[in-house]
Amino acid sequence: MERVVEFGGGEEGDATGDRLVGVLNRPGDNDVVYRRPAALLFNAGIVHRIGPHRLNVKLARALAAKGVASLRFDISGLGDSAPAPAGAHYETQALEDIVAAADVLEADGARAGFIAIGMCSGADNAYRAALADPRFVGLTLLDPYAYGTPRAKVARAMEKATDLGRWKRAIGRTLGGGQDSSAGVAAVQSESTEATDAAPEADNGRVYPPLADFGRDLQALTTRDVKILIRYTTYVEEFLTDPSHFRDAFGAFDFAGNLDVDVDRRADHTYVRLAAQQRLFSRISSWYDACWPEGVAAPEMGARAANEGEAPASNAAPNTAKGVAIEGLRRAGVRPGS
Amino acid sequence: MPAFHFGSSEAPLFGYYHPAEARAGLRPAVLICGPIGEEGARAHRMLRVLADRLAAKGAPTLRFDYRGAGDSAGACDELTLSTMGADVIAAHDELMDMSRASRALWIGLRLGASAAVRAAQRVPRGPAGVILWDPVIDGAVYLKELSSAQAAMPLPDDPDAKAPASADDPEEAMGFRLSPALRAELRAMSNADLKRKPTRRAMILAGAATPEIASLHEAMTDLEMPVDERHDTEGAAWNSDDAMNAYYVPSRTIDDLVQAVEGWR
Repeated sequence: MERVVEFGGGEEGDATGDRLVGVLNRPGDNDVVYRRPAALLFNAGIVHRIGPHRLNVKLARALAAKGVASLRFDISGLGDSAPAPAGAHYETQALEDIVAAADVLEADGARAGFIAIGMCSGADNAYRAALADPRFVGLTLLDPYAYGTPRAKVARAMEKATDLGRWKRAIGRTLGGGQDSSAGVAAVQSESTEATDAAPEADNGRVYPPLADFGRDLQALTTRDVKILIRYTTYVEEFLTDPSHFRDAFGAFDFAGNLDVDVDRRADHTYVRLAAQQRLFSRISSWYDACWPEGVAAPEMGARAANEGEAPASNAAPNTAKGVAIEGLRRAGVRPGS
Repeated sequence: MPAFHFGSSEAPLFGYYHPAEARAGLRPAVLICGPIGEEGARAHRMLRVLADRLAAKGAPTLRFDYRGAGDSAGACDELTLSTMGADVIAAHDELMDMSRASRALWIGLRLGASAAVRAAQRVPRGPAGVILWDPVIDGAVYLKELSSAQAAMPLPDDPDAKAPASADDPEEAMGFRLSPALRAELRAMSNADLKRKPTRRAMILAGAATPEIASLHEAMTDLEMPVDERHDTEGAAWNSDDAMNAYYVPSRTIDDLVQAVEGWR
C-alpha cells in the first residue's frame, strides 16, 4: 500500500511546515515488513522523485512485491518539494533530507536499518548519507564516481581500435562530409589513444573526489558492515569497462567482502531500454536477498549501534539521528551550511 | 496537505493541489493535464511553476498523475488514452470538490491536451474552457516521433532488448512501455474524434501555424466553438533532455497562459 507523506519541517514548532514530498510504500504489516531494511529512493540529477523513466516507482513496487518497504521522495527544491531555507548548501541539505526520510520510516516502524539507492548525483548523496548516519546498512550506487587505470585505458583503446563499426562510421563521415579524406579516420585514431588515466574532475557539475578519498569512504562503510552494490554502465566506459578495473583502481583498500561491483555494458546511464531496467531490478533484488535473506530478521538498529559502541538512535533524544548525521558530515569533510 | 492520493482506494491517483492565494474564488479553478512518458518528466518543473503562478493569481490549481504514470497506481502499460480521459474527469471532480469553484478550465499539454479535449466531450458539467498547449493531433505521427526519438539515442547494443517490430508501432519508447491498447488508440486518433462540442470555448497554444494545427482549429470551429489560436515563440523548447537538465522554464509561455486564465470569460 502506498501513501503520500510530507515531512522535513525542521524542529518541532517550526512554522515553516513540512516541505518534502514523498510516497511511502509499506507492503504489509510493519512487524513483518520492517524485519528487513527499508529502501530510500530519491532524485537522480534533477529528475523528480519518480526517477528517470519512472525507475524509482518501478523499483519501489518490485521491492514491495518482495515485502520490502520504501520511501521515494524529492530532495529540497526538486520535484514537488519546496526549496530549502536560503543559504543552505545543496549537499548538506540533501543529506539532511535523506536523514529526515529515514526518520519517517523509523517512525513508521522500520527497525532493521535502511538502504539508499541512488543514481549518478543521487549515488553521491546516497553514500554521503550512509557515511553520516549509522542507521544505513546498505547502498546501491548506480554510476557512482569512476576512476581510470592504465589497464582499463589500454583495454578501452584496444576495444576502440578493433571496433569495425566505429571505423565504418568514420569512413562514412569522411566520404559524406567532403573533408580531407583522412580526417574522419584520424579522429578515430586519436580517440582510440587519448589519455584516460586521469579521473574526470567534473561531470555535469558533479565534482569527483580524489580516488583515495572515495576508497577510504567505501572502506569505512564496508568496515561498518554496510553492504554495497555498485553498478556501472557505458556512461563510464572511458574509465572502466570491467569490474576488474575497479579492483585495480582500489587495490589498496579492503572492503571486507561487502562490496559488489557490476558493469552492465548493455545499459546506458539512465537505463532507457526496458530490458536494461529489468536486469537492474533483478540484480538489486538478488543482491538484497543475498544480504538480507527472506525470513531472517536483520539486526535491529539499536543492537547494531550498541555493537558499534554508539548510542542506539531509537533511544536517543529527538533529532539525535540528525545530530549524528551532521556530525558525520563534518567527519566526511562536508561543511554544514557552507 | 497539498500532495495526496484520490480516486479509488484500489487504484489511487497522485495529485498536488495548489490552493488559491489571497481572494480565492474569483478566478476559475484550473486542472493541468500533463504529458506522458519522457515528456511528462521534462514538463514536471514547468507545470509546477505554472500551477504556483496560477494559484498566486487566485486560481486554485490541481496537477495529477494518470494511472500508470508518475506516482499514481498502475504499471506503465495500464495507461491508455481512455484511462487518461477517465482520470481527467476524476481529477476534475476532485478539483471542483476541493476548490468549491463554480467553474474550471483545463490546460492540457501534448497528449494530455488530446485526452482532455476528448474527455470534455463526455462530461455533462465539464470545463468552462480548454487550453490545448502543443497538442498531439495525429496519434500515428506521435508514435513515429516517439520511435524516432529513441532511435536517435546513442544506446549500446543490447541482445536482451526486443527489436521493434515496426518503427511506426513501438512497444517501448524513451524508457516506457506502450501497451497494445494505447498504440491502437493512438493509431486511430484524429480530429475526426471530435464529434461533440467539448466545451464553450477553447484556446490552442502552439509553436507554429502548422497544417495540423489548422486542421484541429477547423475541426473545433466546425463544432461551433470559438477558438483562440496563439503561437508561442518559445515553442517546444522545454521538450528536450538538455532543457530539463538546465531546469529550463519557458517563462513567456507561462506568462501567456496565466494571462489567458485571468482573462477567461
